[in-house]
Amino acid sequence: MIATAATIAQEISGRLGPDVALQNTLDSVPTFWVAKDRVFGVLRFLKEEIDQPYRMLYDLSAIDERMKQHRDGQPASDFTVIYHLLSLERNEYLRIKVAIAEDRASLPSITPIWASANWYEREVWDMFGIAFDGHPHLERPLMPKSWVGHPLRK
Amino acid sequence: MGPYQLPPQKEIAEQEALRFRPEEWGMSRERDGSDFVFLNLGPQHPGTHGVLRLALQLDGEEIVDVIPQIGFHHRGAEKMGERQSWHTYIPYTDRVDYLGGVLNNLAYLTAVEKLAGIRVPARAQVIRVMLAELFRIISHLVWYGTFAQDVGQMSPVFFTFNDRERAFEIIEAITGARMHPAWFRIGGVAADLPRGWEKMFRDFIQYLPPRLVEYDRTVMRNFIFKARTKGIGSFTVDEAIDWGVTGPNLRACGLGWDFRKRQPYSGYEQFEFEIPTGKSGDCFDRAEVRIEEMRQSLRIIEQCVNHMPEGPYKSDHPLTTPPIKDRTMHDIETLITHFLSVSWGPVMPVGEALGAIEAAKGNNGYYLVSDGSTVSYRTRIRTPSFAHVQTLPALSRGLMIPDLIVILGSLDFVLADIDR
Repeated sequence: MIATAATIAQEISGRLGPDVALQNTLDSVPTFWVAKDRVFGVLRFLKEEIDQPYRMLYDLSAIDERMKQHRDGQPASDFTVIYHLLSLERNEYLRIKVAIAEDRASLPSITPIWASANWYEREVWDMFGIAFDGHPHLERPLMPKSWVGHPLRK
Repeated sequence: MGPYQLPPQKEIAEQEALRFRPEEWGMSRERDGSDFVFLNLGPQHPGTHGVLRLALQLDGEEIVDVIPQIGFHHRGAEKMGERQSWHTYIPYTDRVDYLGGVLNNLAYLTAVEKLAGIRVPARAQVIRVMLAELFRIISHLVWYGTFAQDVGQMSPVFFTFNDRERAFEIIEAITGARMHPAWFRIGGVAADLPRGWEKMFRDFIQYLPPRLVEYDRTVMRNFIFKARTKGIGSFTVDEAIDWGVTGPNLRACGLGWDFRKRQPYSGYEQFEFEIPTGKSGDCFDRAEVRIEEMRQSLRIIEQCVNHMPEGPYKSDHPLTTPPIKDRTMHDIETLITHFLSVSWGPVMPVGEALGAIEAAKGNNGYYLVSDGSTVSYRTRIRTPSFAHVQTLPALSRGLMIPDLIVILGSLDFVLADIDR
């Protein structure tokens, strides 16, 4: 699995520059950290251009890292947005993580790439307060409209 | 006034917040001089299969657009994961897909056992598969009866719910509970199978197939049912993949993708079973796929009964929670581990893992992040129904409300699965 992860890292960085950091995880899903300003391009590349593409957006969510004690080997991050992709041809998941700072909690929306990202981004906004620029209608899906605060924050 | 009070002004404000305003969604109020009707389907409606509100934009009878509103069933399951220990969280998972019971436990524990590095022994794996397939059948029986009722047949639901009762008797005999057993444990299952378990399963395996044949005659071959489901709500394999659709909804489009075969877990690679697929991805094909899946699940259960391995029903890994009781009663170290793991909780190593299975409705995955404590740092529950309900607007534009009701039934979602 590490060999596969290294190959994917090569394919991505060969195409889009070297800011791609690999993280080892306990489940052997290749996991990469990508910078905020690169992630839109990386995801489009993974969906449309890479060999045996990752055509399915499996999941999109976030983690509030501010109280995490053990983050060895991971880039500094207040909030991490995680994109889980699935390639049916490779029969493999892929995890892309983006580090977000607390005072600039926003990311470009990936709804132009996957229409299904719509509700997932709304849920991240609802639960974590991370805004998605360019989202068609960023309204809380789960909590009531009048709710103040973002429940999954620590 | 305190925070848990609802004075009249607050009630009015909350109700106003729920008012549907088409402009907010970029909808116009009229087309070619005739006004649209904006109608609420739900949140209380038998056709939505739960508390789901669909704001319909209607041009006469034709649906121009649908805005689904979810969140009525949100109970903060992901936040509860940050409060409960790895072991005490198991009953919460039962209630995510409330028809799936033990299937939810399996998804969650697949992730926990990856974190802990536990290999589940063979007997525990086969017991898990046997119960998981029984719950798949139960979930599909609910879908079957309610789907027939959506189309207008009032009786089949009573028959399928009666079949569920037979299955619940088996589950209650083994686990002690019916719909929410919370019976799997980190490292295996809660207890061994009771005496007489084989006969219960063999009786059920004899009992169900003739019933399925009868339902085939009453439901699937009924000309009104076929007229209302064929050609309705169809999408292609590529559209399904783009929308994140998995499970029977994806297989009905023609792609034989089943995570039990493609990424086997819990010993599924040892079993012989087929993956039914459809052709056109419409409501009728989705129905056919689920019915055939029930037959294949019976096949798997029969293989489990015929080839149940001997051995422990739980691993002897130190993180197995709780440890096997005999050991607890025998030596003090195990007793200490037992006490700490059921009270404080077992300490999972630092790391993260995704554990995903083929649940009854599609791919159900738990993404767990551990910070080396007795409690999960982040529990992300990826559910199939969340992705499926998002496809509703695309599937129902241009159709009529009765078609929408049939599509809702054919997608087979559960509100607790969407909202968690």
